[in-house]
Amino acid sequence: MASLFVGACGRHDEPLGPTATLPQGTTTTNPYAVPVVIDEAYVNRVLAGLDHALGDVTRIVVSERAITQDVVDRLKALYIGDYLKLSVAAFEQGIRSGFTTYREPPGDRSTVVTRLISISSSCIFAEVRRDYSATSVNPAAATTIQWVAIQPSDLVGVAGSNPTRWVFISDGFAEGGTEPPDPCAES
Amino acid sequence: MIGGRSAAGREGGKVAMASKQICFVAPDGFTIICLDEETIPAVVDKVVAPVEEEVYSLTDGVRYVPYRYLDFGGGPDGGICTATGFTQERPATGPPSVGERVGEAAVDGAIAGFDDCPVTPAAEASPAATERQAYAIRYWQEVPVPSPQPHIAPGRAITGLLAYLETRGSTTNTYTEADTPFGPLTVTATGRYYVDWGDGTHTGPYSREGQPWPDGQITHEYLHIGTYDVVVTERWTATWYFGDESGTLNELRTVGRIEDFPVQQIQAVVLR
Repeated sequence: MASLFVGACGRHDEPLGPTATLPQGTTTTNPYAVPVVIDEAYVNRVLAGLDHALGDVTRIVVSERAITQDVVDRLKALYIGDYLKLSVAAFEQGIRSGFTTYREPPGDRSTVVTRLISISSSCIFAEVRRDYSATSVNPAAATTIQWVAIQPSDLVGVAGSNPTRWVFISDGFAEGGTEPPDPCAES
Repeated sequence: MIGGRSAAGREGGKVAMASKQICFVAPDGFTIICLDEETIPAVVDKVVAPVEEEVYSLTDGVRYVPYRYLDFGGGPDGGICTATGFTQERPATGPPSVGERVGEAAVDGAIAGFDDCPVTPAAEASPAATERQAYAIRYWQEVPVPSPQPHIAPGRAITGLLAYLETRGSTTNTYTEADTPFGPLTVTATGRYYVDWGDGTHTGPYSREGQPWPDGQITHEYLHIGTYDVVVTERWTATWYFGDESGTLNELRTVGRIEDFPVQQIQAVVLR
């Protein structure tokens, strides 16, 4: 299992969202706080959080048949750069086609790391296996191999829609379905 | 240009993309959206909402239907704003009716909550240049732009097998008119194909002709039996030249169809 030791300090160790007074003896943990050792389990947990946040956006767009400011704000907390454009374009395509290939309501896609390529507290790049069986009515879309890169973000989205404090800087594949250049190596 | 694609990038699947840099799989797991490296940063060039129940006739013989689209980076602060574009069609059987949707399907209410993009005043052209451009525009409206004549051999498809679309058109054309008030006019046109396979899948653009099996690049795998209307739209962009002077011309679209295309299934039968 690939892993990396990182420092224990930094904003990702801080609790998320507004603080609340807890009864004595009650403890709470932030599942997305960057651990000392970044391993597959942690990356899978973050990706699951991101998948759920994207699932929420998908359910809104499928329900409303519209890309609203709320939707874009949520996507901005999930994607940056060209992938923000691509994600909006994907929903526009769905609106035009009537979401005929989506389950209604759609569930969350699921993502499992198959290979960690780059790991640091500032950037993670991984090969993943995606499962769309909860979102798609199309059996041909069951699983795919893709590549994702995430980096820390201060955006938590609309009403904390993305609690992971990580954001996609790459999500998909390159020409011909191949592995894209490592964005973490570029940064 | 951002274009939708399907069934690419999966295990054992087919990947038929050219000149693409990054691709994103939509949450349905089936639609693939790719971004051309040549158009980064790009405007999302998609019809997303009609804005007027009206068809404009800006020039004789050419009618435009307005639509709205999201322009990334077009706002005053580099943010997202909404802009207006115009579809264009060449009249075939008469003028389109008021509010008729032209080109890609428009969707009501697809944009909300974004400010209009600031209008950039057009640079003033000299009267002579304007006349030359107007002449080129009129010429472009009149020249016969070829339409695709799509065909999928052998006249049907089988679920689970690739269907090879033959476009039977052309993707480049040069038109000339030697005798004009401004000297010889040349118009070079380039077409790109977009395919609506009739089952909810849209693919394109394709800059090359679709060819038959086994070399064709425009392919699709139908998943369900039925009959489908396959629509091949060719979007033409063009440049006019009067000597050293040149300018771009509005996009024209030509369309070819395969109506009621049958998709069948093959089942194995065991005989005792």
